[in-house]
Amino acid sequence: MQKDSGHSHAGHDHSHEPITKVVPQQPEHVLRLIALGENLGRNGVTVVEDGRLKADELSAKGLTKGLPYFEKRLMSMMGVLSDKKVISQDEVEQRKDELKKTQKGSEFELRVLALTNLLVEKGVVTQEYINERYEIVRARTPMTGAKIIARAWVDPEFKAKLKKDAKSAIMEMGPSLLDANNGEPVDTWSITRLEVIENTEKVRNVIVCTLCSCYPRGILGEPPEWYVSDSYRERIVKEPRKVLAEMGTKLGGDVETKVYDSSADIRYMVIPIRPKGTEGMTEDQLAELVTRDSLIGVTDPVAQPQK
Amino acid sequence: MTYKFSVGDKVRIKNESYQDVKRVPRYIMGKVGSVEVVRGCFSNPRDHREERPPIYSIGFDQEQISQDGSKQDKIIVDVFEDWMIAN
Repeated sequence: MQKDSGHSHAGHDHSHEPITKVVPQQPEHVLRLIALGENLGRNGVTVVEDGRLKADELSAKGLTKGLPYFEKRLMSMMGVLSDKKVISQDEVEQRKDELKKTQKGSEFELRVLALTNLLVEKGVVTQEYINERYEIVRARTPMTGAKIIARAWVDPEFKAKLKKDAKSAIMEMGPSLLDANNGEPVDTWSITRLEVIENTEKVRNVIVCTLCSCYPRGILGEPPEWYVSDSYRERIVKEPRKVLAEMGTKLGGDVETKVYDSSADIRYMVIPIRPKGTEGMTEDQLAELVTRDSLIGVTDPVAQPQK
Repeated sequence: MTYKFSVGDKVRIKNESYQDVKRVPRYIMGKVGSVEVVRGCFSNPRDHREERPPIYSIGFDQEQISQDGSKQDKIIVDVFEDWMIAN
């Protein structure tokens, strides 16, 4: 579906594969960048809004055009920190060049390391806290979301609670989410408010963030590449049926579509329709059927995922 | 806490210069939608420094947003109260 990047059809190709097989772990330096950002947020140095405004500013100036998503995020972060006089961009570049003499890695990788080291030296963040956050960030996968959906499919009471007060319902699942979340307790700090909306035979819900890349990361990990692409973000609100069809979801004329644009403080997740023919399956088996893309609403889980 | 609008109210989204816009998608500016859910006020120190006005989920008919829209299609956008005018 994407015409503007080399990662075309990322969602399409994998849409029916089990989550565990479609989510390549982000490289360590990317996870460290995310952890660093969350640290700066948690200790009040920056708020999410700062980064968004900076990203808009850099984008309006054409400075981030064509850059991969996480490189844009790093540029925004450095821009904010430099505006706040926490650090200068020159300092980071200088440190990066020094690191280059002794360390392997891309410019981006070394820049993340340089920024981190400088912030630790300046006492803005502690290495211990970054490492702790890194473990939390690294543990996140959409399997957690899948487990939540499987529970909702088998337990109507839980589903009702999930639709009413999602964060509390998820916290109540507690230990049963540990395995899905790589042994770490689920951390929903990054989600101020979560709304879980249910697909029916008549209503198809789809999630997007047209302004940036809002996504319930605390329970699904980082979003897929296509979700943060300009193409998806622009087109899903203009021609939802066409985009869904390209992703393999053809809707009947009697189905209503609802595209949720997460433009404020709320994050969304979809409860897909439980596939037919799964009546005898256990909760764990059902969780294996839930795909990440189905939690965004663009595809449906099927009873027998392709091997 | 009382809110200015309630479910079902028709509201128009302000149409302001894009430079000043914070968290309002351009494609709904000047458009009329109806309040689907009153989300209310909630503290979000992670995202913002200051308290924000109440949030509403506003439903817009897809046809208003693009020519490709069909009658059964809707876009739901979360909008802060200060961007909404009674219509």
